[in-house]
Amino acid sequence: MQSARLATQGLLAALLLLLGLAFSSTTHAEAASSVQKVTRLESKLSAHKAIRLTGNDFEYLTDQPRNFSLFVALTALAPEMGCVPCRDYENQFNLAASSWQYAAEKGRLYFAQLDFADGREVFQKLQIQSVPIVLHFPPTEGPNAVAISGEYEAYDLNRWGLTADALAKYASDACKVNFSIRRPFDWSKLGTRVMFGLMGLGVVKLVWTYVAAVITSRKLWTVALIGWSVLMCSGFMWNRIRGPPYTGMRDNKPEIVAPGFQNQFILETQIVGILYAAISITFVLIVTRIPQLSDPTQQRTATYALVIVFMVLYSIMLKFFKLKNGSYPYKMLL
Amino acid sequence: MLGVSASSESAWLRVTVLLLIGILAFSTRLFSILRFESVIHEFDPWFNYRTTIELVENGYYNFVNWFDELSWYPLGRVVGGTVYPGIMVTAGLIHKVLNWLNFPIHIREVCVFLAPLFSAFTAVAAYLLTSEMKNSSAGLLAAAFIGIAPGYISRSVAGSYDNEGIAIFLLVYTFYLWIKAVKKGSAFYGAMTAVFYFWMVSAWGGYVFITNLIPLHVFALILMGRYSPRLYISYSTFYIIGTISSMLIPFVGFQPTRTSEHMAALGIFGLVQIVAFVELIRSHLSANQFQTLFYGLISGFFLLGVAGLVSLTVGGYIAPWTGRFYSLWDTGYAKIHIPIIASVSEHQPTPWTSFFFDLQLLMVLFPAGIYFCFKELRDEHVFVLLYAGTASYFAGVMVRLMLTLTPIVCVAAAIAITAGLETFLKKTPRAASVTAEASSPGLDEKKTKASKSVEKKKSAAALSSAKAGSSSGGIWTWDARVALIVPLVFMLTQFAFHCTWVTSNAYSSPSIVLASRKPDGSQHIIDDFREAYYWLRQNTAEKAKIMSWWDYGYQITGMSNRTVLVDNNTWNNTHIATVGKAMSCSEDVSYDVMRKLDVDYVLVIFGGAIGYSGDDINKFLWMIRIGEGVFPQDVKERDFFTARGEYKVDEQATSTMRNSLMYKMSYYRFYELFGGGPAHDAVRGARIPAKPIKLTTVDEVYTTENWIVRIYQVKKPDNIGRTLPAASTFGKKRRRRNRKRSAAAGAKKNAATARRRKQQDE
Repeated sequence: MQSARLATQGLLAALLLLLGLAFSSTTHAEAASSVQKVTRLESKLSAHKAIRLTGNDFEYLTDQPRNFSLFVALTALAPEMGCVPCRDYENQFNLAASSWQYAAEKGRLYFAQLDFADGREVFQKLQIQSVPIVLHFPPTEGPNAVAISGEYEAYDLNRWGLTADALAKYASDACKVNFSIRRPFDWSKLGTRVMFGLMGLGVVKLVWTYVAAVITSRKLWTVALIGWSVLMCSGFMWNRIRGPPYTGMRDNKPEIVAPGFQNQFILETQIVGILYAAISITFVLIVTRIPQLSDPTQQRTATYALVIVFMVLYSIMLKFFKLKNGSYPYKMLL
Repeated sequence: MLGVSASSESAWLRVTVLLLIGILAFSTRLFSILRFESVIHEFDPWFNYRTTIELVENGYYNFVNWFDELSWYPLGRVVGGTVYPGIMVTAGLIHKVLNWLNFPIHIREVCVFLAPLFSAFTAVAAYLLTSEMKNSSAGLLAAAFIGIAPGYISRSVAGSYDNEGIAIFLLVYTFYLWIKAVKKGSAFYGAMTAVFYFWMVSAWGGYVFITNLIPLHVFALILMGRYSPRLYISYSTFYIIGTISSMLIPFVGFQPTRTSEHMAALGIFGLVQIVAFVELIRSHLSANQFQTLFYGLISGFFLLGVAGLVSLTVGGYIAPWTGRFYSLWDTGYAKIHIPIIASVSEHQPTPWTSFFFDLQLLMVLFPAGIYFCFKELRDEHVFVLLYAGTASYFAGVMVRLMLTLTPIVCVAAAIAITAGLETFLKKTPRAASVTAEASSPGLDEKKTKASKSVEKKKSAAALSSAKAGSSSGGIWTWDARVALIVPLVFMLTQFAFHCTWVTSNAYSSPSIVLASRKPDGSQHIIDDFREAYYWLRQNTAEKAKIMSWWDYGYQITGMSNRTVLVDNNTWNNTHIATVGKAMSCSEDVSYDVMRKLDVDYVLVIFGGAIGYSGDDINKFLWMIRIGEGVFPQDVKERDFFTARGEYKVDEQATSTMRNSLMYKMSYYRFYELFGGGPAHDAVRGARIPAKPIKLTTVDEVYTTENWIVRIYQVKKPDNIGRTLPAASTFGKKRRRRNRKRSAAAGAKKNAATARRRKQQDE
């Protein structure tokens, strides 16, 4: 009797235990899946690369809760997509991912990549219009949890640029971890460089007389410096920094002169540069060549011809400026 | 230090011409104050003015130790150690001397006229510099050019009391002394170079250009095999005295030994010593075979020195290039890392139109001038060429640095034009002297119409060239001479008109007073800024703290005498970002920030009513960007753009935009101007919806005549601890709720109770 009761009690206890176990395992599947997610991510981790996800992985990993940060790059690498920046950015993203693996504190931060071919439905669900895009899913539980509005933050590629360094900096700030980009040192590159450097030095040594003639040539320096200052004074650096189009388009007609005083097209600056140079060259010719002509008639003709060229070019310059600044009151011939 | 030649007649002529050029340079800069009044312009000058007053009233030592508590609240600013005191001390000295001579003049007038005065000096300095390059005719031309070139006028009109006003004179004069020192190998001129360099260091951060250009010149000369004891003496004297004296400026301190900007000068100083040592040994040895060894020695030491500098930099003993200078090389750097530098309009790259606008004819003849310098290529021409090459790059990267390019363009163009004039006016050995004479008087008649400056140059040039003339070639016929001279004179005359036109139209606006034309052509003055600042001065408590975007900081402290949070000295990015955050967040968030910073009033600039485009809504993106740089969680630039990526203020504006404090304060009650219909923003050409904007944390206290400046007072926290939005809806909510309740009650209970309750409500 006693033993039977004990047995039933034992049975009950076992049942309870079983039940409890079953219960706890079900809750485990929902609540503690952060750990499982980390395990899954760790199992997919490969050296020197971001984790390649599928659509299902993505759904699984981005589902709350999470105790780690996840950066996902959405790309379309298939050649028929023709996304060149995606391919460029993949390298940078992988570089950031592998750099993090060197510094890794396990379970803090993961870099993953989802290609359009692997997760079409995700792209549709998130209404992605353009790639590449990087999304950051911050942790929702654990000591590092951050509350943000919405599921994820978009990493603004337009602002930060397509470099691994910028991504690393952003990720370090966002996740409060400390890591920087480690580029694997390329010994073969160094070797070839040293080789080429030595070879170059050797070549220079061999043909030193010619090289010396070139670098001490006053004419060459003259041309180079004039070219340089003409380039700089015709808005070249503006073009480098602002990256305007070569020419514009208005009403389906190509446009040479950009509207607006503070705006310019590349072709426009080239025309201006050529004008500067041409006017100066004409002036130099007038001053240096004409006195050398010994025949008065010839000299007279040459003077008239060159002065007219000089004036016409300068008038074009003024005219060109008037195109930019309509209220400019001065002109010469034109 | 005017060079007086043997012929006293031509010397007198030159002095007269220079004097006239000086007067011209001075008076062409007076447009701004003749049209309005003698007033300090823009933003930075207001700070300089305020500090000058402090200097004049309390003396130099108090000025150096001055802690300014009116700015950067609650941090304050140690002014003495964070300014270049050159301009204040210069103005203070002039003021002192004038008063000592019994000319009781107010310090404001000294400040207003300082830049034009120094422009006249710059013309003299340019004359001297160019005379060293070519001859005094070219010098006079260069002086006239720099006197009226808009590239320089843009920063030196009367009232523009800023560092650049005296710095360009110091720059040109230091270069002149340097050239003189190299030419003569004189320790005296080397020391004078250092003295003027010291003045320059005390006046403008652009002195770094000198500390790098002069060593570059020395280096180039050594590479060209032109090392000489003259170079050694002048550079060593200059470097030692210049560096030690520059370290006396508190703001510079030990930078000459600790930062990369100054390392080129130090390195070249070392190199010159080595070269001098090796040359000395060589002069005592005759063996040729040692030559290789010596060259090896020199390059070895050089490489060692470079390696040493690099390792010191890496090791952290020498600070790498600072952001401001670094962004000149890596032009994308500032935009990503220091938006505060990128946001300033004078730090933008220069389009070609600015070059032509500022230099016109000179720009076109600049390359020709470079050519003529190469043709002669003495030591001083190497300097001009290096200056031309570097300055044209810097001017291309930053609009502001047009200023450093202008002197060299004037010099080069003067050299080119003089070459042309001399060739075409010179007497040829065979041709009758009649031709030359015939052409000069003919010219003189024409010149009566031409502007003063051009005329002076021409006669001087004609005179000096008449004296010269012995080389082989020449111009044989008089009409060939006229063929070039007449168009050239026309162009120069036109250049003078161009300069006056640009000065009058573009560079003479004081920017604190705006001028516009009424339909009938008469002038209409918009004086909202001073109106608002004066209001603040008269109507707010003395200790009131005023929050505005940093652009207006100097003006508020200068004109209203009130404490500001941030100002144009952008030394603390975080503090500026905090203000940016307060401006771009919603009212609740902003209110907390403002309370923490003790803000009493907020000042915004709004141009939508009259079409003033430099207002805060147009600058708003930078506030957001700078705010986001420090508070990425609170401010997000993306949220201010519509789904199509546009920056909108009308109905399509995003909700973040519409809820931002800046937007609300700018457009608060704006539609009422339009009789209740949708309002029209004249700057952005947008229709502003006629929905009333509710402000719960600030009160509008003042709006100026043309709505340009709007001032809001920050409310005190609610005295029974509610949030301000809740407090502001207090009466309304209760009434609405009560009405509902009373309606419900009326249905249940008897009508009398309901009526009684309603009466209570009312």
